[in-house]
Amino acid sequence: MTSTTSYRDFLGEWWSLYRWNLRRSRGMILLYLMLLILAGPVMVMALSNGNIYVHQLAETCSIISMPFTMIFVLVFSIQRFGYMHNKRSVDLYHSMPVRRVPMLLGAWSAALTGIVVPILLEMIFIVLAGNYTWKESFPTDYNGFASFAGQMGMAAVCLSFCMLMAVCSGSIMDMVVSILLTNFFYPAVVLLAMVLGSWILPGFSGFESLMLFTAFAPFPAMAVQHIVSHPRWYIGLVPVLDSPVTFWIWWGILLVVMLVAGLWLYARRKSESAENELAFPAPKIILRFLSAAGLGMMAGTIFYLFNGNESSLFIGFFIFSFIAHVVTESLYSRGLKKFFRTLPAYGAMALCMVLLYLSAATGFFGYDTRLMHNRLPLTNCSITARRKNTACWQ
Amino acid sequence: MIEIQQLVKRFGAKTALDGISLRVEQGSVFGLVGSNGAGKSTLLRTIAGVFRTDGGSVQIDGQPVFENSQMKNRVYFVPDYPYFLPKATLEEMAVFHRRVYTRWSEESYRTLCKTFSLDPKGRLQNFSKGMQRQAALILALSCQPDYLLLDEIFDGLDPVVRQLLKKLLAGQVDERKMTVVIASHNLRELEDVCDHVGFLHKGGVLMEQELDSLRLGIHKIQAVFREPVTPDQLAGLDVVSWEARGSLISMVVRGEEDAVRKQLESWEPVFCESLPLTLEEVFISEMEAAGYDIDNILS
Repeated sequence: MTSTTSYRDFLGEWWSLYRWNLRRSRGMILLYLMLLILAGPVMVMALSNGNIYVHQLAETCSIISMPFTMIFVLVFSIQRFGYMHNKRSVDLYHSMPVRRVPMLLGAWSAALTGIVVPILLEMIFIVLAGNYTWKESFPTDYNGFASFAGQMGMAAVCLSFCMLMAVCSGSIMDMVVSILLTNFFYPAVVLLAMVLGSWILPGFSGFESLMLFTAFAPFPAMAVQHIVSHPRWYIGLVPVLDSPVTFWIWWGILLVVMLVAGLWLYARRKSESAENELAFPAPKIILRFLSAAGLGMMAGTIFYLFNGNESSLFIGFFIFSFIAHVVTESLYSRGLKKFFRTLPAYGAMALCMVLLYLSAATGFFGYDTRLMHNRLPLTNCSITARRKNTACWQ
Repeated sequence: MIEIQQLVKRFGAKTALDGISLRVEQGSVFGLVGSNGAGKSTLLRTIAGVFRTDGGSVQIDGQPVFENSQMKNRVYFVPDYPYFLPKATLEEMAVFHRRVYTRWSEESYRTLCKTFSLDPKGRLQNFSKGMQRQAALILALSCQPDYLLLDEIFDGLDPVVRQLLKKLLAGQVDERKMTVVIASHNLRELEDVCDHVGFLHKGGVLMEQELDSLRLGIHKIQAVFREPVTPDQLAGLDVVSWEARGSLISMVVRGEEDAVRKQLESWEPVFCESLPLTLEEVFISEMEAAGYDIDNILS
């Protein structure tokens, strides 16, 4: 009885906040819907003079709608989760007779509804528009609609990611900075690691996987899902290692993990974190590492390309990783009062990167002596080039 | 009943509440008074379930408040700066409260809107500070709480509205046995409406008493003695503060009036009279005894 009552209370609390959040998002939902329709099917049909099949319209509009979806996920996140970043709104919300989990879940599900419903309406509009142009009564190819469905799935993932960042942050600015840094620097670090690895390790050309580059960056992954789901549209671009099944298993797991983690942390979040520093320090530590490593590697790569020697690589790396560390720290801490306390963390990052480089440069634990199984055995090889990025087979 | 036992609340390295214990009986109007930064607002927020405690407990009718939605349905907190949703009208805030507070009374809401003469369709962000506070009160009282927590509620209200507020609170306490806790620096107003008072200072409780007992238990005595006297010489008297101007001694003394008078008369003063103290004077005297007075601040 107690658990039934408790479950009903939970549902009741969730429903109240869900409806309320949806009501407050009306204006933004309408704006999003208008942009999707005008910039999507209306514009495409106008440009093609109506001479377009429904499935082609859907395919084109699914690409056009992607940046709008990414932007509005961020906008809805700021709107719906921003209450926990203001001391005065926290007084209102946290004194209400609604527990934290249904409160946050109500905001999350209202934001998701605000994203998904306009996309569904756009799809309906596309089918109706197709009928109107008489090019096609019903679509014969559903790939475009499948892409929309994938977009909705990734919107849920991006929203959960934004919710997790909101819970860990003390202010809206921290939340937005965390989201942008993760989605830019994670792919950058992985890509640059592949590039540098391919320069240093003979026979290594990186892992051909768009999914790996965006494994922890949901916003760019929204574009990757589109590519991975439609290999025939992007012939030659879809890496061998990527498949829609792997993609959705990975992001399905991450969706659940982020949602559960966000709700769990929110139940433990201190109300007094609002307008203060981060509620939970882990994102700051990770993102400071990522941004320093990312910018350092970018600069080191550019310096290396211009000068062609390792010392340039290290000079560029250390100068720009330090700059990134200073900037990230000052953004999160609103100044450099605690800067000297963060220097050991910077030192640890620099040491990590140096050790990684040295292990790659010394053959990465025997990788450089590895023979490809379907190649002929190596009989002779001499390397006279300055850059040791070629493997020899004979 | 609100029962607070050894409550501790910290913000980083700073301890805002340091082992506070208090009891607020049902149906009483409890005034929370204290120096700036004493922890009044923190205490109210902890009772309201906004803050989690770092030690001790806060219970209302034997139940903890934090993350207890059933208990919070009976408690309403009006902070010092009431928050309203962006661009919301009073009507929209009423809709919000109606969804969330199951005891919401539409009839009370309509009546209170007329009483305070506020336009329910006007944007709250365009209201003055006093009008916003009135709006917050309308929403609070319409939720029919059993426990009403008010932080600096008199700030910004004109004298007429203050009288109206006191009358409304008294009516609710009388009819529904509502319990009210008011934190305020406006001791003049608190004196009219409270029956209990608690003094907070630096995160601790200096004293907590019924207002009548407080008044009966502390007196301002003006006396003239034949010979100059010092406080040490007046053994047996609990002297809170002492001021000598020539032969005239003004002192604030704790104790029963008759007992104090009898004690003083044993030293044969030339002149001796007892004056009533306002709550503000009691507060200043008690704070002086705790080392929080203007001389200490300026020195």
